[in-house]
Amino acid sequence: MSERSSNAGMVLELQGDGPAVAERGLTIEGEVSDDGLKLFLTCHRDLTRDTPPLSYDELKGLLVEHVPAEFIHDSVLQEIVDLVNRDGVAPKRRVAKGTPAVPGRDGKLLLLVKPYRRRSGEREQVDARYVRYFDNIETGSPVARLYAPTNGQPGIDVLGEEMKAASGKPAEVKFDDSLQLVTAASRGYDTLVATVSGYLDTEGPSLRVHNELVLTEDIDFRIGDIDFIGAVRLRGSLMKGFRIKARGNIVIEGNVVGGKLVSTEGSIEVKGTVTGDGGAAARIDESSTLRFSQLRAGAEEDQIAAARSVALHVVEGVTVSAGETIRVQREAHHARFRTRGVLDMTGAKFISGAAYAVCGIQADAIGSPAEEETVALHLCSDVESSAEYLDLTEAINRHLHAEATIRVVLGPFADDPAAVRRLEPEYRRKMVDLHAKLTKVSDSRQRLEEERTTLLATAKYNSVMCVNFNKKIFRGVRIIAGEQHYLVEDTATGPGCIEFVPAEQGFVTGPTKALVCDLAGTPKVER
Amino acid sequence: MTHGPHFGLLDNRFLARSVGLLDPGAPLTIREDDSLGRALTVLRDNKVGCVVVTAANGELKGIFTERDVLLKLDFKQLDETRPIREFMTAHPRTVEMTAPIAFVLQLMSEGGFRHVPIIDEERLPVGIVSVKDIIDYIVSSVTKDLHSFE
Repeated sequence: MSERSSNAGMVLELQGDGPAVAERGLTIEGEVSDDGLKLFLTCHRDLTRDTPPLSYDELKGLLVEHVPAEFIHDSVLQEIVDLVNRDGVAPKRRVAKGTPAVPGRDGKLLLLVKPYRRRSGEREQVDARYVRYFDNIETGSPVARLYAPTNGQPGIDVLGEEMKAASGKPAEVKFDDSLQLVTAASRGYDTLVATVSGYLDTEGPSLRVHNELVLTEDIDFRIGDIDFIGAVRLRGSLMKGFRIKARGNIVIEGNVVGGKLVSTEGSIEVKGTVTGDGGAAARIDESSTLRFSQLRAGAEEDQIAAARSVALHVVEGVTVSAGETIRVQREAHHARFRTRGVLDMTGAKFISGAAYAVCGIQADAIGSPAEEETVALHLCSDVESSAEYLDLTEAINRHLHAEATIRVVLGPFADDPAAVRRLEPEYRRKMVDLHAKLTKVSDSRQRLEEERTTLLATAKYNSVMCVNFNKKIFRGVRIIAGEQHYLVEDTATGPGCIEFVPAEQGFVTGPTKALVCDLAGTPKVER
Repeated sequence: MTHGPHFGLLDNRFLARSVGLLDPGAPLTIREDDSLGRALTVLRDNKVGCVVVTAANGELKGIFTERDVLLKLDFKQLDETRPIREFMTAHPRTVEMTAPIAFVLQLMSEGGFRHVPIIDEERLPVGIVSVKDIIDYIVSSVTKDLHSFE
């Protein structure tokens, strides 16, 4: 509050220096308002006395002895003079006004981002209904501005005395080391900058950036997809059709029921069961070589994809890819794994599916007790475990299929295009077009194969390319390294290892081997 | 292991981000009873396309931009002593710092303007965002993602 004028409520008798006012029966009384800013004048004149009237100049002269001239309302003075000379009385009128003090502005905190407004008692979790209403914040981003309070401007009361203005109060703000205050006097405010990435949390005057998003509800149609710049911990389950994408680690304490998990820089752990849509269904083609009918390339098609490691418990009908080790603790059905590290299923059963691993595979039991061909294990290079390589392989396979189909339609003309000249014109034209298409598809396939060869030329292999089985490996399991296949013909009891030996381009059995990633550039697997 | 480009622009949350993340600078301001000449001087000396016009208490009253210069001034008989309130765009559309970028773009597109003042809850101007600011932000985000793509 600004300071109150010391003249507030004052009453002035305006007499002037001499006796002239009183002798003429004039009474001029001024009253200062309670706020000290206004002066009200009341005038009386005894009309029975034959004395000179009150003039404007005289009245103003009396006023300026007390009041700064620029505050006086001249038109009102003239009205007062006219009234008192005519009627003998001029009722109370405001004749002057001072300048009020302008109080300073309080300091303020201006948020630049949408925060999560934490309710008291909420601890560290977030109400998932509001998860898309706050901003993802990068490290180094400004999140708020802190404006300092201003001093205010003093006023002048109606009698010309200064009225001090109240200064503003600083804003109350608390923050921890997830935020840093950066001062820049030239900008007129200080800036709070995030030192970690995540979301901004406010509780009263306290601000904090949380790097981990903790959610307790299931992620389903009520919540929608989660996309977060930090780490995510879900205490519920992820339902089918929904996705959690995070830059940091993802931990799911419940189950993943057909949903999708992507960690672009971290690891993923699911403590419950992971079930998918059977993305790794297998069928056996005519040559009894295991092919995967829904072998999709690209991490976009992977149900679980992490830049680093993945840890799962029970897996069914799921595709998983990881830059580092994939661990499965109990069992895997109809699952496809791709890893640049080790597929570690120590203590678990790999019943059906496929795996591409650079640094080896180990499990307690591999294959089906029915001794059918349900598992294919690829000991591959870093290139072959990548999405790009599988993209290329898929594309080449499609081209091969297309070529075969066109050849069937072309029949003998596929290899003897000149023979079409004996055909009817319309039929000849169709055969010519089809042959041109065959050539185009074939050329495209060759380019893709060259691209794949170039890619494979940079491939790195692990020094140990091995499948360890701690308890059993069932008949029907197929192990593949390049074009070399090893089919387990008799169920074997472990512990044991089936190892690919590049120098011999063949497989040997023996005791288990430690699986360590070294990518030591061993001799290439021949193709 | 690559997982495809993680381009922020293709992230469906990108345009939902608050305009405050662009860290818009404090606007240049003049009073509504300042002269046209002063406004023109401020635009020229600071090499900006826009100045915010306020009341004596700092509250936003209008905006004066290079478009106003082109469309409202008669250069053949220009009286630079006239108050800027006669030439400004009064009561412009405004947003708060937490307005989504998508909303600001929509505002600019529908309204046909290139600058939007940002106000706080007291209607005091605390920033100004231009279409160029948003374009620069988009380009820098895409460029950053391209460099991080392996």
